Amino acid sequence: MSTARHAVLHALIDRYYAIACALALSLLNWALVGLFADQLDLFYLESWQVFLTCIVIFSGLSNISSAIFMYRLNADSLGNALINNFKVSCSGFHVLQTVADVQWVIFFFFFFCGLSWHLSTAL
Amino acid sequence: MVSRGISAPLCEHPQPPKSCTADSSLAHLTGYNMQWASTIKEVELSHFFKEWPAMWRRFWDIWVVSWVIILGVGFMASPLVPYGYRITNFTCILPIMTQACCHFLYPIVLNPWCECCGYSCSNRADSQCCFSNSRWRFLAEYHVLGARSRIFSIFLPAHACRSVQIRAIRVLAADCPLIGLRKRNNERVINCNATGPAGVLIPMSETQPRSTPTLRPVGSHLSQTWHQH
Repeated sequence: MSTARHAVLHALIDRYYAIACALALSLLNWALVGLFADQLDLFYLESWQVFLTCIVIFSGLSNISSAIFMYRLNADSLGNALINNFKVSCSGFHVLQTVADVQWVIFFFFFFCGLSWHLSTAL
Repeated sequence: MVSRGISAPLCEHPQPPKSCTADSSLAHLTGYNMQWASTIKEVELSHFFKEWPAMWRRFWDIWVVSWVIILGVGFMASPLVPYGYRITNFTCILPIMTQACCHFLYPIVLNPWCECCGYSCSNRADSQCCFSNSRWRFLAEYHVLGARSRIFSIFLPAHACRSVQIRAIRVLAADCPLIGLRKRNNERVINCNATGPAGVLIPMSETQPRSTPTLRPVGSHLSQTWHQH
């Protein structure tokens, strides 16, 4: 019980810390990879690789999987769902569609990328 | 996630308390001082040059920091730096530049009245706005908190104009899929027009015409009952 509570607590809190240290760590990554790339090459995972992974998964694959999900729900045809997920003018409020909306991808991109400093000052 | 302090219906904090992360991130998301709304007479369209002094007061620190980072990265990539110390690696520059640019653009792009973000409105004549209804609902969700009771606290942004609030109420009233907007018996949240006083949304019986604005001034719920069965 205690462990489960701790896990939930850490899942809640640690993501804020993770976002908060993003700016400082990316600055550190820039200096390290830029100046000491040769020495670090053996053991260091560049943030570019993580960045690319996140972009591909969250803005690309999540939209596709959401479209497949809509198709499996018989809410839409596969092609329509795909198109809708990447180009939607949401007339009705629908959680799945709005979350997957490409405008929301842009919105969330700016939101989460700009979050770091403000969180780190708040923490 | 909707945290204490913010969700209190009659909140007296001039600013949201920044005591826990949920508070600060919510207040940060909206960037708002918590205040009661006053009577609103007209909708005005805002733009960047009207907004930027407020934005500067709120975001000057991160704007300075992000420009220092951007210029610093640019300087280190320039031929002014000796060859061994030059940082020109694309994969190395991109993450930090993303962070810096997004930090700088954050209040500009996410400002509801920013027209430069390319969000086009589906029904321009109706709304005068650049956001689609879904995004207004998203904003309304954060504007209209404290939906546990039938009193809805409206919080105005520090750097956005009041029509945000009007728009939020109108969107909420159009249909309300949002947090905790309860339908009890035959009460529902009724539409309000932009010229009505904002502050407290009062549910209304279905027997009354829907187009009647039923907003009452702030604090009127303390002195009178508004069950209208």
